[in-house]
Amino acid sequence: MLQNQYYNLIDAIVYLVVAVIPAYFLLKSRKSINNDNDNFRKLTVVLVGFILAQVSYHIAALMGFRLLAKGFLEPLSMMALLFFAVAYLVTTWKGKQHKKQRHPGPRT
Amino acid sequence: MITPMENVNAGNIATSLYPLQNIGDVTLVLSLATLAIFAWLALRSRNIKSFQFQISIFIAFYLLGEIIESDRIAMYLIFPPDIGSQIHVGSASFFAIMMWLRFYYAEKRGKEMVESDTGDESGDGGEVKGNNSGIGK
Repeated sequence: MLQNQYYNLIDAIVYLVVAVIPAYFLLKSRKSINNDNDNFRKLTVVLVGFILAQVSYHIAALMGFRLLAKGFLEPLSMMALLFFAVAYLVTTWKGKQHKKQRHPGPRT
Repeated sequence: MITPMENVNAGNIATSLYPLQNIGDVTLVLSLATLAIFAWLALRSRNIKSFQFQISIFIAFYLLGEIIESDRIAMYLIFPPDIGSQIHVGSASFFAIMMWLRFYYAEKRGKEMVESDTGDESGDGGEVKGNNSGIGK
C-alpha cells in the first residue's frame, strides 16, 4: 500500500497537469478585448487559482506541514472553487439577461 | 502520526487534531455549497456532456474522499485507511481527463470548452457551436 506522501505527490502532479490547460487559455486570450472573453478570462483565473491552491496544499502535505495544508490551503482552494461556482452562476445569469434584452419575447 | 483510533483511546478530544477537525468541517461545507451550485446548473442544462455536470461529478468524488478522510467519520468506517486518499487521486485524475478531453474536442471541432448556458430552453445544454468567445478559445 502506498504511503500518504505518495498520494499527495500523485495529486500534486495531476493538478499541475490540469493547470496547463487554463493557463494556456489565459496566455492565448491575453490580447483579446472582447467583453464575453473578459468574463471567461476572469473565470479561468479563478479556476487556475483553485488548481494552484490544490497543488500548494498537496505539496505542503507532502512536506509534512499538516496544519498549513489542512488548516489553510485546503479551505483556501475550496473557497476558490466556491468563488468559481458563484462567478459561473452570475456569468450565466447575466448572459441570459443580456440575451433576453437582445431578443425580447413576442408582444401580446 | 496520530490516528483517529489513538484519539479515542486517549479519551482526549483536545489533541493537536482538534482544530483541524473544525477546519475540515469548514472545507466540507464549502465543498457542499460548491456542489449544490454546480448540481443545480447541471440539472438546468440537462446534458451529461456539459461542463457543469462533469465538474459536479468531480466535486462529488472530492467530497466523498473528504468525508471518508474526516477523522470524526473515519473511526466508524471499516474501509482501509488510505481509501480517502485514493478517492482524492481518483477525483483529481477524473478532473485531468475531463479537462484534457474537453480541450482535445474543443480544438478538434472548434467549439467552446465550457458551454455557455444562455438560451438552453431547447435542452441541448446551451452549447454554442462555432462560437469562439468562450473559455475554450
